[in-house]
Amino acid sequence: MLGDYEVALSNYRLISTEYKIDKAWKRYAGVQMQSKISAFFKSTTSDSSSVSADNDDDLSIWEKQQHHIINTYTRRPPNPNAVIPSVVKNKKRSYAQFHLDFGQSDFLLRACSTCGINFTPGDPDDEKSHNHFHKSYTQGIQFRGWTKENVIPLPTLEAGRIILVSEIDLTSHRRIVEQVVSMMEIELGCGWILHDLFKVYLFVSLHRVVGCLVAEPIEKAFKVVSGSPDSVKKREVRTRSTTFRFGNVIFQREVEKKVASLSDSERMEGAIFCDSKPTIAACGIRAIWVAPSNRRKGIASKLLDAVRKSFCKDLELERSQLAFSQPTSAGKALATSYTGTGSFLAY
Amino acid sequence: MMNASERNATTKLRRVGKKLLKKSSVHKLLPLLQKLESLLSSLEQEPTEPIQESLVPSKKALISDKLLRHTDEDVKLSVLSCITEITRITAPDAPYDDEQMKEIFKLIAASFEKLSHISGHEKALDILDNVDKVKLCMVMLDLECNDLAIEMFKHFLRFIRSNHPRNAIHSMESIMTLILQESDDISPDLLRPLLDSVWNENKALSPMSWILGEKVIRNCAVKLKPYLMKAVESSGRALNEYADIVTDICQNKSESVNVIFQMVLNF
Repeated sequence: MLGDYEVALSNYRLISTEYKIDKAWKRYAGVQMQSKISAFFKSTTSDSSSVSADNDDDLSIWEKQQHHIINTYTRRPPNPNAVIPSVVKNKKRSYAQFHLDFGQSDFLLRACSTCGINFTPGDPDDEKSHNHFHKSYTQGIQFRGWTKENVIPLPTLEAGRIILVSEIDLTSHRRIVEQVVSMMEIELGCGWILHDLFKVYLFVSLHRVVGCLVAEPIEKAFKVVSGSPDSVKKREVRTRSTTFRFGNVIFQREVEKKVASLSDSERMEGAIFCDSKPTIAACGIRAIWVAPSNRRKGIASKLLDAVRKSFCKDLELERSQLAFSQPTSAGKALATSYTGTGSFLAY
Repeated sequence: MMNASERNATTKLRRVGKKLLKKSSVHKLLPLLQKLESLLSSLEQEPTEPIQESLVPSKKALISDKLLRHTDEDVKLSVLSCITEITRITAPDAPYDDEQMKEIFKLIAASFEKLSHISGHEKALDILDNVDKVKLCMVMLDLECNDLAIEMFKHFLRFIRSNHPRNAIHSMESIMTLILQESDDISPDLLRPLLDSVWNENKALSPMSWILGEKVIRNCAVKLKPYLMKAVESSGRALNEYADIVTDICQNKSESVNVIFQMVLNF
């Protein structure tokens, strides 16, 4: 490498850094001298063959290095008072604990009796997820509305609105429908509610979907046979005697509740019997569901009113013309109450 | 007693310092700061008592919010260049208290972003040179400004250019080597820019950065050995995707490192 002063200079600088760090001052001084010699010869070589710009660079380097650096900054000695707080901090952090395991039966997973979801008590993320789902389930899925809504006008509707979603609607609309249906399936069972040909009625109140009804076109249905003629007679007798004896509004309400309760208990078996002869029908109520915290407010009845009004074009259906799919006990109670008779249509 | 040149310097310093406290417009501040920087660069370390006293107005003016937080970029760089000149003169004692020094270090780290700019990088080079010569980063480590050290590493390894003056490249190497050698503990965040620079893909993309990173890692081989393997594993890349020096350090081949040093010494 004789004559390659540039490489020599860079190597000497590298070594000088090492010596300085190791505080080997004798070697450091020697290497500094060697680097100065190499720089001198390098300048001479450049001077004979290169442009004046290089000379300017060398001169500027020389000007920069005219200061004599005697003093440099050093690390402060460690302060014993400053060390203690950090140690305490570390101890605090290492001892953090979120919950204690005493062998409780629901330590790992707990099932919420209301919304049915399993979550880990004490885990902030799980608690947060459960709270969010619980609220969506009991109060309804959040819904800010769409720019294009097919609202069914109902004169009797005081608060909220009912939106019709049909199969020709946008896919963005279907996404909300699918979310609501997955909520419905928690109580009504999975996989049977939605299919290609349907109309979905959403009851929206306070920016939440609090009720949902799925309707479909049908061709025939069957009239439900009443369970027991005796129970019908009983109901009639009780109603008449109550009105006759007291004639008081409050007592009338109480008597009505009793009758309804008796009616429910009689029909809790779940099985229904129908005429063997079909009846011509047009509209089937496939599924109907209301968010738990919004029940017993007439939402389901309003949804049924909206269906009767808008299912067939230019034709409003009578209550007796609605047919219900295999109803649950609560569904049977609703159908009986809405149509005013136990002999409603089923399909 | 004070000689003529010393008396001249003190008079000028005091006058410029007082003017700085009053002026506020950019086109008046820049010439004043230029003059102050020229005066400061003519001073040596361990100044005499009269010079120390004449520095007080300038020191106060430079650290005031009016100048330190000035909106004009050129004014900020000039202020910072003057401050680093003052740190050179007052070494080994910091010219300001800890909180003020922290603020200054933030601005110094931010100023190194100018190394990649066409205009203004001369001042950044001056700041870089002063920081390196007096080992100002020792104060930064005492003040536990670890995030600023990481920022400096990122700026150096990202903005280094082949057209930078050789002494600037050497200053970057010295500063990074000093920070690693003198750190009590090396955080993985500090190693990440270094490892990214010596990633084999980066050799083609940014060869100057690759060379600088390799030099720094070689300089600090002994210090980095406990930390480097962990940093490589957390980077998500294989060990052989990095420069050979990383493999040598991680696989405990200290003999080869010594051999390299011996070869250099023999030369």
